[in-house]
Amino acid sequence: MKLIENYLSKLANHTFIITSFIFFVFFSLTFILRYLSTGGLSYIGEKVYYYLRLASGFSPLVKDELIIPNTPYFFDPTIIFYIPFQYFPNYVSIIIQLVLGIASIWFIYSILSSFIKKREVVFICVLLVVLSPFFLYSFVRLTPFVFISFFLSLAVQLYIKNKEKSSLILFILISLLGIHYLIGVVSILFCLNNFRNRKNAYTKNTYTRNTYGKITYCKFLIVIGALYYLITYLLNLSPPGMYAPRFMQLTSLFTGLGDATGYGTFFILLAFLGIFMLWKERKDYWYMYLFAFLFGIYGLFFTEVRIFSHIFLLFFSAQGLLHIIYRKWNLKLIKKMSLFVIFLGLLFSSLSFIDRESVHRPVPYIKEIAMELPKGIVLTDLDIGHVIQYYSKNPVLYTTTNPYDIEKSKILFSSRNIEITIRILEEFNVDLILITKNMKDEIFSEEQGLLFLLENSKRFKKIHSSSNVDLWVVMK
Amino acid sequence: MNKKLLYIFIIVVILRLVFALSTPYLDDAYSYFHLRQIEHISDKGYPLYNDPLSYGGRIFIFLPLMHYFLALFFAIFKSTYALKIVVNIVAASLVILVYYITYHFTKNKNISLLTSILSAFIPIYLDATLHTLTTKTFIVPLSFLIFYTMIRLDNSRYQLLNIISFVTLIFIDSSSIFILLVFLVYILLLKLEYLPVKPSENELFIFSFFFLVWVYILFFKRELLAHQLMVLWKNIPPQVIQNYFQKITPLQALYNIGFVPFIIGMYMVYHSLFKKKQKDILVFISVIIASTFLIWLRWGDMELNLIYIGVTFMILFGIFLQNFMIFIKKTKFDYYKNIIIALFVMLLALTSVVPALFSSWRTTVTTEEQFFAPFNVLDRFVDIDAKILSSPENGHPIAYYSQRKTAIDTNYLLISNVENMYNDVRTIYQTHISQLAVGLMNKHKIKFIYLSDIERNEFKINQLAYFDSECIEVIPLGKSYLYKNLCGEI
Repeated sequence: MKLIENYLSKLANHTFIITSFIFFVFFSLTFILRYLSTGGLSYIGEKVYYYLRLASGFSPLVKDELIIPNTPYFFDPTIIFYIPFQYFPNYVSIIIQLVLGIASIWFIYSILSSFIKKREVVFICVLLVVLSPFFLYSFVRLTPFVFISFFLSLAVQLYIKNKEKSSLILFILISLLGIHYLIGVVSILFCLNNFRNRKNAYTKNTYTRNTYGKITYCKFLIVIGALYYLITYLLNLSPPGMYAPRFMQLTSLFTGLGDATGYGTFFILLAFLGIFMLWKERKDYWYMYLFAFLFGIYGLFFTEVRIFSHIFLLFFSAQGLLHIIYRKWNLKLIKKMSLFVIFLGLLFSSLSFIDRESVHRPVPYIKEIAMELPKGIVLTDLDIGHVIQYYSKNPVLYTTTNPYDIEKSKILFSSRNIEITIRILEEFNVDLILITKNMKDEIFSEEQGLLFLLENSKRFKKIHSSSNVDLWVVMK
Repeated sequence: MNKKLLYIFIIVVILRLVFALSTPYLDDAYSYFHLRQIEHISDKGYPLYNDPLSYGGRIFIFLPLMHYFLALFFAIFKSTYALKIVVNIVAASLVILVYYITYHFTKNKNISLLTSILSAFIPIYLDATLHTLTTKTFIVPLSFLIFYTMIRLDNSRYQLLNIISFVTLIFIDSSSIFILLVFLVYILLLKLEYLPVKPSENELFIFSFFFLVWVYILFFKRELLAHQLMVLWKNIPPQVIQNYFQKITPLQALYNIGFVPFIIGMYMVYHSLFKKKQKDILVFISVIIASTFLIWLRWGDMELNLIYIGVTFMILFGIFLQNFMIFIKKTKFDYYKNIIIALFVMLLALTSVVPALFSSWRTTVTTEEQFFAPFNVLDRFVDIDAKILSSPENGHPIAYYSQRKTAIDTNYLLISNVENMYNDVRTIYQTHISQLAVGLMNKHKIKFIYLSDIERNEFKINQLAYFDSECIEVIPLGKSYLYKNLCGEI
């Protein structure tokens, strides 16, 4: 066992360099594989196209003209972050994402170092963060998580270093992006203030704060947040993040089951072990148990919350892993084998995530098709709606931010009754139907539903066909 | 090894082979899936994950260790008889394990030998492993080897053996998850009984758990993404799950396990849990609890769970016999103890051994005519690219014998809309409207329909109602029929 500890000790001397290098490799690998498999360096995920399109208005107050039916003005401060990005070529954005990721690793390393006495433990914790698929997800996709992860880690670092004013500004900035972020930030601050576990061998307690100070700080944040959300509400703008909760399936908690914001399977298993092992000290960590539970449930309804639920999950995962490493094992061989398997499991969570992200939609050919689309309202795959809107400036019937009347879309895609289909298409004034290869594979198996009608009805005319897409015009 | 035990093992092997080698056919239709894979591995060196025949061509991932092992023998002897010999030797090895497990508890060689002989004739185990190529042949002995090494973890040799057998089992069948469940129930029982959990037990559990999860995520990543939690039910259509569990009634289950071992086993469970707390027996009680739990949840293979219960009850019977002898020594019946034991054995022979031997004889006799004779001639009537529809069960032997595409078989994983697919199959067999049937056949590109007793039983028909339609040509194959779709677009 000395061997493992010696190795750990050596690696722990270069925690930041090693973890940043791992992140760099994972990050680059994602885009290299994406370039090789799709032939381009497009953004991963389609939501970024939504933000980039709205950012062209230079204001967080927007009226989206391409949504059907048209919606009134709405307020989304996240758009501000995307304003400069609309001018950057893709590769510049990717470099910025990489730099923000590495900077976040530095902040996380710095935060953990101020809490934890043993360098080896800091190394293991930072390594867990970097290997976590969600951390990678936060930076490979240009979602708001890129900015929130960066600013949150920076804010916590400043807070711990007692630079209160700077940290407060950042915390306020994050809190104003959405109501869920405000709740998350307040919870994180609460946990930070309570994190004084004197019994735990891994921690030191250099970080202290007077009770009056911490309460005032949190209160101030809550008051500012509450005022802000009240004002947006009074101005008849839907406050950011205030939308009806959508219950996601339990399987969305697992990144291995396909949800990019889910938790890695091995992280969950380690977290369960951590929860079990730390149970004896539950009185010291009651708030971690409480928030882990609450945010676990909360995260089932709102994706934004996943960033905070991951923090609690990683805390318990680290506890589980540390228990395995530092517990005295009777079966020495089993210890080595277990650690090896766990390390491979963690690594494979990330590698499997990289594999999926590298081929994730939208693929570059969608851009070419979208740029050549004739004018008109488009019906297409829910997952490429924003890309079509961004490049063609055409309104799209269904998008992920506006899955309007999803029941009708189901009828539209599955019905073999031409009258019902035409009635719905006319209701929304649909001009173009873009069928992708993905739709053929996933939505219409065996040429059923809309695909059958397109092929067999004179109300539709095919104006473009390739191996990847078919474009149909609805004859009026 | 004890000489007597060796003789018992040899006798059991010979007895098994007498039945097994009396027919070249395999009783279980799924054996033909394994046989195709074994032949492919022995020929090409790798498994047929991209199967061109199943469902007209699909990807099916499975754990290939058993296939590789058997492919070694197939490559040398090129005969299914060789495979039958190997699997029956492996299956018979259970008697050795039962002997050692019983001996661990009783320290009585005679009782252990008696229990090991009886374990060879557990009806459901003999039935499931005699004429078949099935992973159960390997799973059951390996599982009991794991349970045995679990109770002997103090010895480093057994620790290593435990790991090796568990890792081997993981690569043989996904039902190795059952072992983890047993571990979990065992630890729970220890906690409930305020008995100490050895650190080595915890450590083995941690390793086994993480290793299993890792391997299965690697192997079944695609299946997990496609079916999510339904992967636990192997994407089996609900209609099929329901039929499958209706096939075995509780009384039949009891008959398959054996009445006497069941009653005595239940008494021993009660005795061990509430009267005399003995830590090692809890491992085997956990096996019973875990199996019952899985049967109740309709997870996993019901037959396998019944085998676990049957073998465990037999071990508990051995322990009971030892306790009974100790008890009887203290009474005036000591003089009659041999007669009492003989009575017990006779009772067991009547309720377990006789049904087991009868069942073996019956499957030997019926195997040939019941299933496989018509499959040999299918390739004469079916074009090389044509797809044949049968019941899911018959999909494997049809693919093996005819080397033609099949529309459906029992490997449902990675098949999208499997429920609709099964409904379509049922409609094709049961409908009276030929247009509907032909429409569905064309939708699934089916050129031929196969009808045997299996389909008759499954779809509750005697023949296709539209056999006289102008779109259908009937080709009789003895008791079975082949129907050709003449209005096909393919």
